[in-house]
Amino acid sequence: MRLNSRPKINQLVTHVARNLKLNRALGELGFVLATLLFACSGLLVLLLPFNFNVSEWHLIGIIVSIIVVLVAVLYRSWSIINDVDAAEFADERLGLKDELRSAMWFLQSDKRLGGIEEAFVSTHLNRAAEKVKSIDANVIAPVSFPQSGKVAGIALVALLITWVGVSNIVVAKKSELVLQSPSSIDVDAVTKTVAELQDSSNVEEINDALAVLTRDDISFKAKQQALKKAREILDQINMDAVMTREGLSKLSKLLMEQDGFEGVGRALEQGNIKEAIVLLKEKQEQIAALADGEQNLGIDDQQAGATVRGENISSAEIGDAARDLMNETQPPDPRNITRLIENLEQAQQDMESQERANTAASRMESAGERIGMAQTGAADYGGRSATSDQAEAGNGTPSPDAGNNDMTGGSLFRRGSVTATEEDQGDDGSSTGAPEGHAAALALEGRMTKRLDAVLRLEKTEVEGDESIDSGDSDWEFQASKQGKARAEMVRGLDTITYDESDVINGEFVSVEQRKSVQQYFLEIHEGNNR
Amino acid sequence: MTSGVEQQVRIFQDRFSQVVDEVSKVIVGNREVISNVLTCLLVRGHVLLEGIPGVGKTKLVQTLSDATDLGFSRIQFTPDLMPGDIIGSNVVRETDEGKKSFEFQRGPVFTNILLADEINRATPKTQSALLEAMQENSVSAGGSTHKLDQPFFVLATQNPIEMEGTYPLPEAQMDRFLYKLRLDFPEAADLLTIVERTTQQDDLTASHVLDKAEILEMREIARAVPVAQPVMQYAIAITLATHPESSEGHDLAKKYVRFGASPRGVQSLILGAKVNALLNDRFHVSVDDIKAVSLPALRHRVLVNFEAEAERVDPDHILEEIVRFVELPKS
Repeated sequence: MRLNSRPKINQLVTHVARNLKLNRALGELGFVLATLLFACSGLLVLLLPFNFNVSEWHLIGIIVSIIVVLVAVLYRSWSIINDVDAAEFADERLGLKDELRSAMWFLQSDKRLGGIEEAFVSTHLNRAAEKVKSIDANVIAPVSFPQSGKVAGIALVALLITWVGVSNIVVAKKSELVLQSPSSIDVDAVTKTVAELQDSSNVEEINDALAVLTRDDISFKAKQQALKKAREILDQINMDAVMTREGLSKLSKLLMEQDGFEGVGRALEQGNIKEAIVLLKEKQEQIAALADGEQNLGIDDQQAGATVRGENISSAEIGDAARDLMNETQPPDPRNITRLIENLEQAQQDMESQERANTAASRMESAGERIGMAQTGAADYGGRSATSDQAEAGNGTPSPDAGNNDMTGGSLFRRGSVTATEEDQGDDGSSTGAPEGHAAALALEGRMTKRLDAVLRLEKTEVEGDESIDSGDSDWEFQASKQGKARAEMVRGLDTITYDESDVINGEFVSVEQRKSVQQYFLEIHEGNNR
Repeated sequence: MTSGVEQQVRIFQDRFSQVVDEVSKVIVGNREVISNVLTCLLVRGHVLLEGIPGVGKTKLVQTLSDATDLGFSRIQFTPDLMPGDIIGSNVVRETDEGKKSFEFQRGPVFTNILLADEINRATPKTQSALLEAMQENSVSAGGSTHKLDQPFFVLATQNPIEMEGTYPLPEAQMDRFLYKLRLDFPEAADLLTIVERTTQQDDLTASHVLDKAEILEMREIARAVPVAQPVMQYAIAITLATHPESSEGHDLAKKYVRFGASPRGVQSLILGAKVNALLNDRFHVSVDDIKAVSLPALRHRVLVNFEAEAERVDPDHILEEIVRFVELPKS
């Protein structure tokens, strides 16, 4: 008797159970998905300050984790509902007073009753089967899209918005110069790369090295510091070249007055060092052919050997070699000529090094400008009020050249001549920067002179090569070079680099060698003027 | 077979309704009490009626006996009532030849419907004599056991107001009653009807609508109603919820109950629910049937503590809360 009722009741209950499972699974999946998506959104926002980059593996891991959780939830929600639960649900919906639930229990029970009790059970099951015939399971438990599914959709939209927003913020942080604490590794890497420009003669290598400045994985602060150091290196190269040119200029004057060496002097005057070297070697051969090897005018081997050095020569060294040559009453000693040739070759290397440095500097500044770090000129060192220069009157522009309207030259000169601990009262020297009125040029111990004076030498050198400027004035005087004008234009309006970025605030010390070089440079200028 | 069962149930319902209707002709209101009294009769239980004097307790029992054509006895319990006065005693009987012998003289307990009026006025010794008959459906006297005629149905009454000179029923004896029913004071409309009916020249009496055989047949049908195990588990859950020491005990039970319902409470719930299911034209017992009989079946089995009495928290309130919060056990 029970078997007759079983299929009908089971059919309804199973259908209701399937719908209930589906609804529950959808609801729980929606809830879990919404929770996870909201959590991911929150995580994206929370990780923003930590610059956490979501890599592909991270993404895969997150997606796999979400899938695993969803599968677990799906399994749980699907298995938690059985047929008895579905019968109970149907009873409640239809007001059957536990009729289906009891029927399901009697159908599943192995207990066999006898007599009138079994008749009661059969009657009960038949009644239940008759009732379920007219019942549609989809009416009792319709499959519906759960509210949590809508919430999950909102969570998905929120995640997408957060993703896009966070991505934009990350891009903005990179492009809008959001300062980050530079890591020493970044600084060292960039500095090392840029410093290698000194020894690089290949333009392609320079380009490759400068490409570091455009890398996104290096912070702006690191690039900024690296560029600053690189500029100092390049300035040092330029300063050495300036010193060399000074010496060559003096040497050419001396040789012009020396019989037999006029050609060499003219070649040096024209800047043709190679020709001068060739002429000197010819002269050396002639002397060697005429004189025997025993005529040595008193220069010992130690003194001669000391001239052969790999270091950059200064104008004083070149002058010493020339004076040794000029002071000879007898035919010149070939070893002195050899010493002079070596110095000239060294000078030639300095010139070539400077050319490479200028090429590198140009490319470096272009790269720096592209990433928002243009040349930090003198204007970037702030106003006078930030220094110890208390002079009320502005420094007159030492040159009337057009374009030098930012008082850079005068300010730079004064600042360069003021010590870090001494106040410049503005009454003990020329405010124009003219060397004659600047007799009391103070000891160059200012902490910002290293780069400053390198720039001055660079510009002076370029002025000397500029035909539009009076070449008769060989004394030091600031002239705005074309390069200086270009740099002034470049830095004009650049207010992102503040005063605290300057060397003064950083408190970096100038190397002894560099300080001596600058000091010697000014001293030689004065010596030349006095003569 | 199926149609036979349906027919039997229908007859059961008709007979039940006839008795209730007939008794209601005499007893005004309290139709639910009448129904519950008849339920106890049909599931072999006994009833403890509680109510103030004059609400018709005795009249209800008398009317029921009239309607069912069953033997009826009434015992007015007093403090000097002895057990022999209930169950009977051996008396010396002398034959015509002058030979004397003991003969058991049956007491009023040997009947079908016994009204134990104001049962709490008798001594515990006397009370226990009746309660033995209720439980065993037999009495022992003079070294022999005497079976009671079926159906044997005891209706005991007690007055909740007059406590002086009474012997409240012990818990074990209270537990023997299937239901404890309360006859409340009638409403104004019911009072009017009562006055009209009882002040006429002729007293109203109930007609015989049910004989003994029919009652026994109805007893068989009532007990045959199947109960699914989840429903039984629900009845058990309710019973356990009344126990303060149980982990499934309700908070109110833990606070106000001294002793919870005994296993007889579960039996009472199921038996009462079966009749309730039949009366509602169902062939199975539902949770609602359990809920419907929970108060009369359990109220006298839940013994409250002093705190409950001080705060006037009665067992009905506790049971209502338990029924409201206990859920159907999950499969």
